[in-house]
Amino acid sequence: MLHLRLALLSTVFLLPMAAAPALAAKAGVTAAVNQSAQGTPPGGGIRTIVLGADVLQDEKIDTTGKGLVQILLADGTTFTVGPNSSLTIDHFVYDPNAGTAQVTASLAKGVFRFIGGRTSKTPNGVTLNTPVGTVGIRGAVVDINLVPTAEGRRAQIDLLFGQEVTLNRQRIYQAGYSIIVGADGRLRIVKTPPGSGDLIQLILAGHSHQTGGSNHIPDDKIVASSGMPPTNSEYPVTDNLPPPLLPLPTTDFGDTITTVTADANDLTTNGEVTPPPPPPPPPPPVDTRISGTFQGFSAGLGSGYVETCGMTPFSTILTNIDPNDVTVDFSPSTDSVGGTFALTGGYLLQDISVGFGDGSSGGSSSFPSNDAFTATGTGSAATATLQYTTGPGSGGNGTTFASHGSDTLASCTCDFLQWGYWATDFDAEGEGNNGTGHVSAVGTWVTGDITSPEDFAAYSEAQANYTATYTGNAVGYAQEPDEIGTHRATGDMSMTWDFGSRNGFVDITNFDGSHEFSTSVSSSTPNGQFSTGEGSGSMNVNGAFVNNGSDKAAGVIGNFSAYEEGGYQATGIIAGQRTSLDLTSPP
Amino acid sequence: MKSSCVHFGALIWAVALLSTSAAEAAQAIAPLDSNVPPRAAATDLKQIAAKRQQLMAAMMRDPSNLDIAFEYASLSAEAGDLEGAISTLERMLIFAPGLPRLDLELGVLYFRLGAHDTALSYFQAALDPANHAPAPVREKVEAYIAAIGKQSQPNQFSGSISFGTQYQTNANGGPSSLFVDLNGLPFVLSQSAASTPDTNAYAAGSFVYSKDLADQGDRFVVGLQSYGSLYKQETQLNTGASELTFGPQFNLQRFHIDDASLAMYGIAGGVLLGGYPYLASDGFGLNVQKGLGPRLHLGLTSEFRNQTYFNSPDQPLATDRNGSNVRLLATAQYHVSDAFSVFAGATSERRNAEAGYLSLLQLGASLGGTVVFASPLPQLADPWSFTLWGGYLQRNHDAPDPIVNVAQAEVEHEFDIQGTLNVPLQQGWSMQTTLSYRDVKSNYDIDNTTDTSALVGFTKQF
Repeated sequence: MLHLRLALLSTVFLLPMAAAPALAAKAGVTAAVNQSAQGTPPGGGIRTIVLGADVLQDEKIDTTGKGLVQILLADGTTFTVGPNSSLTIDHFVYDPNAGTAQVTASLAKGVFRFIGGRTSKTPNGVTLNTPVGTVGIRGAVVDINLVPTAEGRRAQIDLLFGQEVTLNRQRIYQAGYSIIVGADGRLRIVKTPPGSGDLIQLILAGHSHQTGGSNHIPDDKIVASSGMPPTNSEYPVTDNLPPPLLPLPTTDFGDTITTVTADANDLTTNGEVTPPPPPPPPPPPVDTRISGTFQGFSAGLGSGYVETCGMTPFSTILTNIDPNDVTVDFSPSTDSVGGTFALTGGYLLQDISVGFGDGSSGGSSSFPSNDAFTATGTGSAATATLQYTTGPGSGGNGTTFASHGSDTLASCTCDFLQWGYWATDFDAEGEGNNGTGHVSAVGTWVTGDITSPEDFAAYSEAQANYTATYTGNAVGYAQEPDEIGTHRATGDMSMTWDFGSRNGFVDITNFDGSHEFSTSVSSSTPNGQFSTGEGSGSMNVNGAFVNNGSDKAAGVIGNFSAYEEGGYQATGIIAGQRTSLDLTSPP
Repeated sequence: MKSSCVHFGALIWAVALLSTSAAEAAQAIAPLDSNVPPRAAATDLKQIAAKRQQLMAAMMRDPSNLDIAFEYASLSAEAGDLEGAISTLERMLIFAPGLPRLDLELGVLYFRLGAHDTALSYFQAALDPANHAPAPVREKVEAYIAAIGKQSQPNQFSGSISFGTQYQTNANGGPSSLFVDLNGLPFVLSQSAASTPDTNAYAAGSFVYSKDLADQGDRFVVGLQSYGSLYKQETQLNTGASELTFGPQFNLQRFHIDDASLAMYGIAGGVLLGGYPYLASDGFGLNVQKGLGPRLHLGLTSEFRNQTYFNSPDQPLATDRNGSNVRLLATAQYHVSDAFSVFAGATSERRNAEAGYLSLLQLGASLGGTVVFASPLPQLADPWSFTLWGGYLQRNHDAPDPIVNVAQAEVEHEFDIQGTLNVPLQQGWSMQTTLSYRDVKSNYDIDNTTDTSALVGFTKQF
């Protein structure tokens, strides 16, 4: 009976509306209505709004203090209209095929929530005229509160979610911000004041004993058994976090660690076995190239293997003691250099001899300047003593001999010296049952005008009360305990020599960064050569004095080899010039 | 060389194709009104869209029909149109004010949109004693309130820590063969240079502090990434690394560029290797992020670093690497569905070092995907995920390394593939199992390496 009465009542109130605005277009429907709410269609009388009623364009919707209406437009856009509010849908068009929609509405007073369907995804799709200005909405959920407060706020517009909201020329583009219209009409953009969202929520959520005009009331069981929880609340909290629209830059440690690992195992080094040849200089008016045969010292790191019943790898330091074992001949007239190195090694590779340059070495040479010369020698110009037996070399890449190129000795001008780099590679055949092997080596060399025993004896006698200091550098190759191969290294060298006692000290500092070696040296006879005394330091040195033209014993050259606990080893040449001559004791 | 160009070209082509396909797919199947990546399978989206259209028309005819309303709301949530679901459930709430389960669903929907204040209002309403929320509802609501408490702070601190162990078949990056060619000379490397398997224990941390600035969506962000590993045998590889980034992040919506940010940041970092200082770096970076709809995200990062290396007994020539580093990285991530996403990246990096042979230009590309699937173990309810990733890098060195090859600079081709299974445990902990393979091919024998590794780790997010 009650239903019948309500139905009759509705019919009575709807009839005038249905008759008067027959030409007015439908904008949407009322999807929920808490009474009371009234509609005033264009040209029609006031009607009570009920659930499911059409909302017409230009129809003014008013709610009372307990009234609440949700208006659903065909594109999915909804307006929730709070109590004591007034709204008119001025214009609404929707093109489902194009997926576009536009709505213009007038919000005269009250509280509203706008949730955009296609309207807010259409450019300029939402225009809301309010007493404080025109609101534009793009892709957003927005609360609009036009209820003035005692504190003087005329209106507040909150962006709950989405792209942007504009009011006149002010714009919010970050959720959680609001535009506040003051009593003076000024607009401020602020973070949404705490509590204001709760208040609007309370206003728009309906109240107990009201059912939005529906006879079908959802309860706990209906919601729980609907399809909603499985697609929403049943997911873990972490899976429901919003996507990170503004992620942070991140460090690619993978690359760093990969690089570190690769660095830690890098074979090389800044070693230069063969310095790149510099461009040939213009022909000098006078040939200043050095000429003649010079002796000196060399040192290198050799590796390879001996093959008898299996392959046994070796690694050894190669040096010479007698300067006559390292000989280089410079011949400007034939634009050639050549020579031989005979160096002593260790257990498996006891010694090698290599030849290079034109002639019997089978190689070639070039001698454009004092700083740029190279020579090569074939593998057959080499010999090696493998496991006590000496055999001829063959094959391989042979020997490369080169000047120091653009490298310089930082602490020694040393123009009266020649130095550089060399490398060799050849197969060696042992005699008898000692099998074959392969030798590879890189090293440095230095030569000069060795002070003859006679000249050195005379000079020593004349300077018997003096101690000379020689300053220069050490250049060679080093190998870390776990290093694959070797790396080139340099350091400072200083030597003192008491001509009276024929004793001295050699110090190498800052070698390969921070390594330091020292040893005492002596000469058993005044022949111009010196070497390490037994058990006297952290390295072995072999060397000789050299002349600078007529200046006898003006420099020192030699080689060194050093080992450290833990496996670090280094070898190379030393070269220095006399920088002082001080009285050792009164004459 | 030719084949490597083909590889690189193919990958670039694949990335370009992916981007094009993704954009087309985004237009074709992503509804204009989706706010988040859909939870439904991509193949179902068209059908869901048609059904939603029918349900909308039915709702317009009969807005009080609960069956229609709930079906429309759940399909909207599946399709990623959370606004559609919200407006429908808010109507249901007008029908049944104070219904805790509706408050829960609405709170979760707003939470998923990032509207934390509104979500909190609904969650608090659900806990109103007058509404007698069932225990399961209360538990869920409390979990969300705790999450909101962390997310909505103006000053946020978040991050993750992880630790685990990794086995590598070639931990020291040794060459594939001990017989190498140095300037045409065959050279036998010592046994200590051989590739060596080893196991390490590692720990890593990622920490982010973020402070809201005065303007909308702008933040000042401080990030710290750190990593440390200890090897069982190859102790010279023991690594400690940290990098700090700090700077403002601007919301580009101020220039009417949607879903976009620009971050400008300073960089300071350092690496310890084998117990010795190895690298100190400082620099700056720019990062631009852009969302094209809820499913496609693009990123562009450019970083410059000054790098100062330190010599040590293990690394006597590290200072040869002193120099600078400029890196450009472009990334794209596409959420095909809630359970499947693909990603691609392209990188270009210029390293300038004191030694010419250590200076190089690196180009690369990567492609991968993540599948999320239901846990096969009833004890672990949260879904698992599997990520498969592959990449290619080409490094062209500037100058020859004179001790290896005086005539020819090094060219490296690196291929990587990696698969990771992520298993969420409890209280923010998860377990990762990763298998990866790395293959470097170079015209320098000494750098030809391969490495297979297996990693098991645990991560705690907070």
